[in-house]
Amino acid sequence: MLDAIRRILALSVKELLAILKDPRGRSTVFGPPMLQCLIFGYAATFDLSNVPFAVLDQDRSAASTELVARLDGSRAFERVANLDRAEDLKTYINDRRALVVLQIGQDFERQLQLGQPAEIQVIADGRNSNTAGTALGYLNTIVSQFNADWRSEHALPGDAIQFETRAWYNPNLITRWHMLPALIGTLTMMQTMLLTAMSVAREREEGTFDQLLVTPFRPAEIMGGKALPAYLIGIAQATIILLVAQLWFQIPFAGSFVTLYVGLSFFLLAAVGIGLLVSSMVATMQQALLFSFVLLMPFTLLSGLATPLSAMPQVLQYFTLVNPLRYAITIAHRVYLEGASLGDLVGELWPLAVIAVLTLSVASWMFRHRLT
Amino acid sequence: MSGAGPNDAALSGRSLVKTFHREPNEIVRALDDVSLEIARGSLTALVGPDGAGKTTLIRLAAGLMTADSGILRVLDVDVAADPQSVQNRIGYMPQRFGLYEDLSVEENLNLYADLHGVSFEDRRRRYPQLMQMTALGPFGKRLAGRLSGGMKQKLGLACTLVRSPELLLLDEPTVGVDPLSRRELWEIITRLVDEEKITVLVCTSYLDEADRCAQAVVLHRGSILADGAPREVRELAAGRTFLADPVAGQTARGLQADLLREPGVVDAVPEGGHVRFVLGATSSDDQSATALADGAAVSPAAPRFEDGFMVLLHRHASADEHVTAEVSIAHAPSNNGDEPVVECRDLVRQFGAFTAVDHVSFAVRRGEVFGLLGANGAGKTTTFRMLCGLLPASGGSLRVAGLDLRYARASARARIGYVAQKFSLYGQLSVMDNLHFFAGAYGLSGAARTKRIRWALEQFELTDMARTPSERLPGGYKQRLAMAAALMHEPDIVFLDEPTSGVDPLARREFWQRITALADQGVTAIVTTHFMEEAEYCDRVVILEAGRVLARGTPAEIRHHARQDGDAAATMEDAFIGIVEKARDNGDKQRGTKSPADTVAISGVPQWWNAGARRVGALVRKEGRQMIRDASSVAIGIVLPVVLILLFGYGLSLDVRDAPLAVVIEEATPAATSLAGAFQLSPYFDVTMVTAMPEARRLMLAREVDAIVVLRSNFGRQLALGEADVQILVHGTDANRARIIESYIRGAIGTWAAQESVEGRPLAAGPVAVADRLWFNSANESRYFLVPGLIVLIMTLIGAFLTALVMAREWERGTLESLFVTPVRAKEILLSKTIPYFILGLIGLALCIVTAKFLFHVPLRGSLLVLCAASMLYLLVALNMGLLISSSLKSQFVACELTIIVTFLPAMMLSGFLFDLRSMPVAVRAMTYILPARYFVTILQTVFLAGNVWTVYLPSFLMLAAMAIILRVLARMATRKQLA
Repeated sequence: MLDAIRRILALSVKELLAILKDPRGRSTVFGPPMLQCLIFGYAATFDLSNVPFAVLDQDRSAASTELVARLDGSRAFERVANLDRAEDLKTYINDRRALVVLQIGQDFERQLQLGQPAEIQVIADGRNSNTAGTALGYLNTIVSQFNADWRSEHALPGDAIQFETRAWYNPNLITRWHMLPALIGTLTMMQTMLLTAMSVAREREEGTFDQLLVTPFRPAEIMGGKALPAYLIGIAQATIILLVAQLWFQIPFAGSFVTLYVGLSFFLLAAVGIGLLVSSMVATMQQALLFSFVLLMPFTLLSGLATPLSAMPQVLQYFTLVNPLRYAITIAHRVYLEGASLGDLVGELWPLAVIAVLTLSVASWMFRHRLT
Repeated sequence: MSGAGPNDAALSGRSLVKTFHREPNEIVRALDDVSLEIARGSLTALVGPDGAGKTTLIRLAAGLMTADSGILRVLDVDVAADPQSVQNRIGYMPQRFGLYEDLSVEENLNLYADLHGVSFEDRRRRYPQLMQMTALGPFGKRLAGRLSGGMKQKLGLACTLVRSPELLLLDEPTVGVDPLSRRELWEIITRLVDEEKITVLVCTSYLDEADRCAQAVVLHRGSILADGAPREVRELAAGRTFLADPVAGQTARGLQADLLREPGVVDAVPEGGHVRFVLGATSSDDQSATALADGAAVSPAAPRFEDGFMVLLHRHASADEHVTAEVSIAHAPSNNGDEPVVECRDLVRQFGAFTAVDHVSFAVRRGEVFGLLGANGAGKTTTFRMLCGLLPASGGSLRVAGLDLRYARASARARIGYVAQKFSLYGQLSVMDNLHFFAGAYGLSGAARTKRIRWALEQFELTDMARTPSERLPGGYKQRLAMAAALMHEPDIVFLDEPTSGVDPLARREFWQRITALADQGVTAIVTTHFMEEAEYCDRVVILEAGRVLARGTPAEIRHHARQDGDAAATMEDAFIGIVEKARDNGDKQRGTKSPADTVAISGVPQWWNAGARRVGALVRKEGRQMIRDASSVAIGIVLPVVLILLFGYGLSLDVRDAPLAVVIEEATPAATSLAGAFQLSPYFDVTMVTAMPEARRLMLAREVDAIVVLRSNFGRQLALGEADVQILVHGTDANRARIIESYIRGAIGTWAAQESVEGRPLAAGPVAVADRLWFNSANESRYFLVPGLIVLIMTLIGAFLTALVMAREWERGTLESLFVTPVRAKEILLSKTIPYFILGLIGLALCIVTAKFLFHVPLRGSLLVLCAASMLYLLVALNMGLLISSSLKSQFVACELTIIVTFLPAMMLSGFLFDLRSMPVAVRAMTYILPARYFVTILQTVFLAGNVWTVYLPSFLMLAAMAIILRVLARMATRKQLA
């Protein structure tokens, strides 16, 4: 037993040395997660700012000017043009110069004064309908505010229904709060899976795997020695991302670190297990890379990272049950934003444990039996 | 040309200097002021110990490297100035010939024939000769990767000789080649020189081969020690060479070991039962020789080239260089009496229909040095791998230290040590790290580990190299390290598979000294080798042929065995050749025919194409075959697109439908139930009615609902007063979805309010109403933008991913070195890597377009032509990006990491396909402008949903075109036909 542990440690140290001694290896393992985390923290957001809009104000009244000024005043919108002709509306949308165009009719203020509904026409570029929908939502909020103020200024009765909205765990509904915790799982999975899949394939290509097999290593020990460094690197990467999320983006951490790291450990073992399973089946590094990717793509897409799980058809939702990333993202969200405890996470932890045990044992069996 | 008279030099170098940086501050002078001349039509040998600069000189001549100073003219061309024109005219075989292992023997051969522009007629003449020489005829359809090591070497040579070059450069062509093939190979070389008047420069570590040449150049530490007829070197040992006969009870290797310990002896090797030894420069009379031999009978012998070489090296060796390669182990292996330690009986191994090992039986006793000899492909390595437990046997029984290692407990493997045929320690780790790892692998720790590592460093004289990465060690040191690692744990038995292949004569002697010392201490050694004189070191040998044992016994018995057949076999090599040839003749007789030599099919690109097109065509064929044979390319080219299409089309959606919603109705007033009813009718919600907030809160915490709408008990009354309050709680973890749900809830309530009236007064909307319309996607289907976006991902995957590794792989496997010294231009290599993947990309594209249009009914409002043109352009950008990455990095591992970072993730995150670019901070946004995916997404979204808008198309097309061109130029610059 002690010998086994000693051998596993020897292999782990060797793996870590091989990665960390090579400056290129070092930079590919630790640079990208940090960089990606920063870039995606900014880029991967459904929140809009500087939405370019154009106005065709045919009324040119105090009221219409006031309404447009409110759009200008918000950080979300940025006026790119004042239009004169209705035909221009079309051009601005077509050429993507504006995401939203507003048309205010010439009797806008008169109707307002008369207490009749004054309608403004809004056209949004639906090429990315999600963005367009969000922009329209922003616009509606601004118009509601305008309405409320108009009513109180002109002593009109207020809206019959007042809304009082609260969002749990993410009071301002910032996408970044959703994205960054999810990236902990996504980025570490990519790296740990590739690392394990490639490291065994590399040993096969270079012939060192045979050398390993004639030493007293048991297949399970080789697995252990390959899994441990990948796990440690995964934990280190997760820590980097966690630090960026907290120190740079200042997203408040609601839960306990212990819980988060326990959850991550389960997840990383599952990811490493899948990586090793891939590696036990391939012969070359190219195959390792490509097959890992064939798995990574659906794992990422069906994880709830970019699109919600609940919007997927039922069949695919069943498929997500074998996707470790799905659980990792749920764990990250629940611990990070909701402050969940280990007891709350049992439903996520046991599937990860099952995936880890299954993949690791199949891979270990394959190591010995796939020798030609 | 007719102007080239016989006196013209084929190669002439003057004052050549070439330095390398090994460590950051250590400069190695590989060539130090070397001048030499090689006459046309001559056969010249280049010999010297490892690290002498032989390979560097050959690479300079092949135009793969440029000298720091000095002038090198090859075939009257300055190589540094015009390497291509030299490469068009010469043939070059690097140490490790870059065969494509996933191509068959005939495909490799035809590829090189195409690249050299050999006509089909010439091939019909040439191929039978080559097959005769290499005996590869029957294996024409076999993949090169499945050939044995020696057969690969022969195929490499055949590929080099598909045509007759003016100058042939051979870098250790006979490494790992068996004696029979070596003899045939030399017959070919001699014939090329004699009949076709080709100039040959061959670099070799078989010194007997130098004797066959007209000129021999001895290099040592970057300088020339001797340059002239081999006789000149041979004569250095004249009068100093003797043969000694071991006294009764003494083995030849024992006497040799004794002799080597004498200070006056320069060299001693066992030979045909005697020991040949050479005395140093100082004493050279028979008396002192006899005195040294300690009672053994001594007679003078004719010197060989090797003897002179040893004298020459000894003369130039510095004092610290004299190696006494003794080795001592602390614990002698446990004595099991005379039991055999390794035993196999009727061992069989089949690969499909092919029987690699056919009922082999032998036994090895403790402390024996046991040799396994045989031609290439005779089954030696297969037997080894079975003994070491790396390969299961198909039949028979085997015992190593009393166990079958494949099924024995892992700890049993601690009793053996294994040195593989190819250097297989961790190249990027230092000597020290490797030793540390293997010590740990054998369970050594603490003081024991430190002690053994010190032992290894001292015994194998690796202390100076302890911090050097093992891949940068000179050949002899690599071999020492491999042995040190295999002996760390003091095994009882060591398996050594061709441990001396490609190792210089000095290191070979050291190696055998160590083996002799180990055997004396009771370690059993099982060795394979192609140096037949090394068989003399063995106590007993078996000769394998076609998987069967042909002969067995002591070296003397084997020589004797061969002599009985009327053939006076003085040396082991003659004996071996005699025995194997006889067996082959018998085999042919049994089959009734001589085995057909010409079974290699001739195929190739059409002959009427011009030379450039033929080369590209041949490479494209090669690339296409590799692509089809590798399941992973097909997986990423076809399977992944299909999976992604289905996922994106059916699976992914940002649209909210049936969002689980809890409506809390504290009091069931008519207004409240009416509003709740409106929610139930809405397609957007899946409503759960509850009566109290705690229940709703529980549902939300369990994520059974995504939002809660609270209608308080006073909702009805307040509504009548015109001041009703509705509380909306959303689960904010997924902010985007939360926002959509919230706006849907407000919308649903607004719609309900517009229809309702309380006491006759309408609950009208506000003073300003927004009439919004979503152009291009009025149904607000997220699929409409996700499916076109998918084309970006797929084009990126196929374009960048597959190519990112292809160049790096060729660098790693060394195939480019062989490819470079052909008429192929760098741009042709790049082009041939582009075409097959471009075609694969088009298939992916067609799949995407067809499914988008017919399966998911995404409207295509613009022109199909624009869509295809843009996709092809982007595909080119991605391909060039992949090629640039892989040709500048040369390492698959790093190339793969970088490809994900610079191509795939940006295509997903920074292209505007999912996330709006305008909302990103300026720095990030600025970055998106240099990413091609951004422009492609712009075109795609417009062409699918908006129609032809040329003001959008033009700038994007221009940017993509510019990027394609720039990346191509960069990739072209990164692919120089030079070795680093």
